[in-house]
Amino acid sequence: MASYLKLSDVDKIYRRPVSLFRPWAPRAQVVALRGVNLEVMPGEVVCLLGPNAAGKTTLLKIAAGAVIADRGTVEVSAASVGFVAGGERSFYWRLSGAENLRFFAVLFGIRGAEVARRVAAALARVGLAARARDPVRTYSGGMRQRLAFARALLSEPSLLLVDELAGELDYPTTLELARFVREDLVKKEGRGALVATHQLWLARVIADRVVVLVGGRVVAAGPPGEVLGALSGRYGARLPRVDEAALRALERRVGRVDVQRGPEVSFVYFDEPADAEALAEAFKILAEAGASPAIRVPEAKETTYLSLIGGRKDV
Amino acid sequence: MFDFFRVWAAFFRRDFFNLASYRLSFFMAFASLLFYLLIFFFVGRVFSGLGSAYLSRYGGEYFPFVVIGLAMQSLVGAGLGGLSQVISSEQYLGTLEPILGRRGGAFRVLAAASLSRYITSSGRLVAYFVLSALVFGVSFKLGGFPLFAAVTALTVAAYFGLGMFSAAFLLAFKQGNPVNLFFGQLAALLSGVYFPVEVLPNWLRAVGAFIPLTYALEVGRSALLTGAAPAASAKAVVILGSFAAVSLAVGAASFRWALVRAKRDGSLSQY
Repeated sequence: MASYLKLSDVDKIYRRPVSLFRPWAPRAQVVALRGVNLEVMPGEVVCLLGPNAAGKTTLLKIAAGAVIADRGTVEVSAASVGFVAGGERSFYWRLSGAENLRFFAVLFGIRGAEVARRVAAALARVGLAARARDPVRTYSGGMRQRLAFARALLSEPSLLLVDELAGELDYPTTLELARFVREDLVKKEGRGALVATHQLWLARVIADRVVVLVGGRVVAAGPPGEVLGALSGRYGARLPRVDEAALRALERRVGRVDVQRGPEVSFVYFDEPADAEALAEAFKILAEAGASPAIRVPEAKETTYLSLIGGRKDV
Repeated sequence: MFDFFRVWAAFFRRDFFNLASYRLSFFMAFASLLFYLLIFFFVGRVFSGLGSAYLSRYGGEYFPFVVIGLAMQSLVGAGLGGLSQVISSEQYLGTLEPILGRRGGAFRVLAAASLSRYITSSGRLVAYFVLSALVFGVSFKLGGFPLFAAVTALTVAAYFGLGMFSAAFLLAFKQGNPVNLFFGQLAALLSGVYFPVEVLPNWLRAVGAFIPLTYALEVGRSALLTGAAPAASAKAVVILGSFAAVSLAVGAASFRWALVRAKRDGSLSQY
C-alpha cells in the first residue's frame, strides 16, 4: 500500500536576519529539522510528539507546502490534503462560519452548487450546523477549532495535517475531537492523519504510531505503547492547588486517593474504578478543581518519553 | 481566466459581508470623499480669477485641476498598494496561510483579491468626477475621455507592476517599503497631483520624470479640461507603455522570488 505522505531525509534550517548593528556578523542559524524520515499510510494516525520548538509545526507546514524544505524529498500522494492550523486566528471573525467556509471552498477550487453542499456537509460533520449563520466572533475556542476541521474537510482530503489539536481546549473537548479524528475521519473513512501535539496523553489516545521529535530530529518512532512505555491502571493529574472538598468528593467516587503535595503544584493519583460512570465523575470533579487532564500513568516511575526528550518540563 | 473571476467573486462577497457588518463604514467613506472635495473647492476659490500662468494650459481653474489629480492618485494607490494591502491584512488576520495553503496559485489568488481594490478605487474615481460635475459645477470635455481612459489603462498596468514589486518587498522584508515611498508618497509631491509640476525646481522635475503618474496627469488633464491632446501625448503613451512592460516583468519576477523566499524562511504569515 502506498503512503499518503513520505518525507525522506528532510532538513530545514532557519537563518536569522542580518543584524542591523553588526551586519558583518555571520547569520545565526536555527535547526528546525534534521534528517527527518516519516511516512503516513492510509487509515493511520501518526502523532508528532515533542516539546515546544521541536520542529512539529515546521514539519507540518512543509507537508502542506507552506514552507519549503532545504534538503530531502517530500512526496504527497494523497489526492487532497487538509491542513488544520493551530491557534485562534485564521478566520474572518465578523463573517459567519458558513460564509467563512464558502469563501475558502471557492479558493480550494470547489465550484457551483457543490460549494453549498460541501459547506453544509462539513458544518454538519463537526456539529456546527446550528451555529452556521452566527459570526465566528461569537464562537467559543472549541467551536473555532471545529470550524478549522470543517475547513480542512471541505476538499474531502485523504490526508489530514493537524497542528496542535488540543490548543487551548479543555480536556473533554479535546478528547471528543481526538475521537472524531481517529474513529470517524481515519478509521471509518480511510484517511491518513498527521497530528502534532506536545501532550503525552493525547498521543496515547489518538495515535497508531508516535514519532518523537526533539530539536528537529526524530529520536523515537513506533506504537505508543512501545515508545512511551506501557500504561498502568492508575490515573494521575496535576493540581494547581489542593482543594480538600474536591479530594473528598473524588474519594467517594474512586476510593483511595494519593496526593503528592508540592510548593507550587501538587499531584493526585488514584486507581481506575471498575465503574466507567465513576471515572467520568472523577474527571469532572478534577476539571472543576482546575486540575490538568487526568491520564493513565506509565508503569515505570520515569516515563520513557521524559527520558527521550531529556527531562524537559514543558510537556 | 474564469477561475480568476470566481476567486475574485469570493473575495468580493467576503469583503461585502465584512463591510456590511460595519454598517457606517461605507457612508463615512463617501462623506469623507465629499469633505475632501469641499476643502479643495474652497482652496480653489482662493486662487480663482488670479489667472495663474501655471494653470492656464489646464483651463485656468484650480479645482478641476486638483480633482483629476486626486482621482488618479486614488487609482494608482490601489495599483501600488493593492497586493501589499491584501497580504498585510491577511497576515494580521492570520488568514494568509489558509488562503495560500494550497500548492501553487498564490499569485492568482492574491491578484484576484486585489482586484476589489481596483474596483473600489475606480468607483472613487467616478465619484470624484460625478460629484465635481453635479455638486461643484465642473465641466469636463467629454471628447477627452477616450484619451484619458487609454492613459489610465496604461497607468494602471504600470502601477500593478509596481504593486507586485512593492508586495515582494513586503513579503521579503516585512516593513520599510521604498517602492511605496517613492512611487506613492513622493509621487504626490513630484508628479503634480496638487499643483502643476512647473512650480518645482528643475532638479525635482527631473526626478518626477521617473514617475509614470506625472505623464498620466499631464495628458489626462489636457484631455479632460481642454479637450485637446497635447503634443506630448504620443511620447507620454510610449513612456507609460514601456514603463508598464518593464514594471510588470520586474514585478512578476520579484514577487515570485519573494514568495519562494518567504516559504523558505517560513515567514509567509509573519509581519
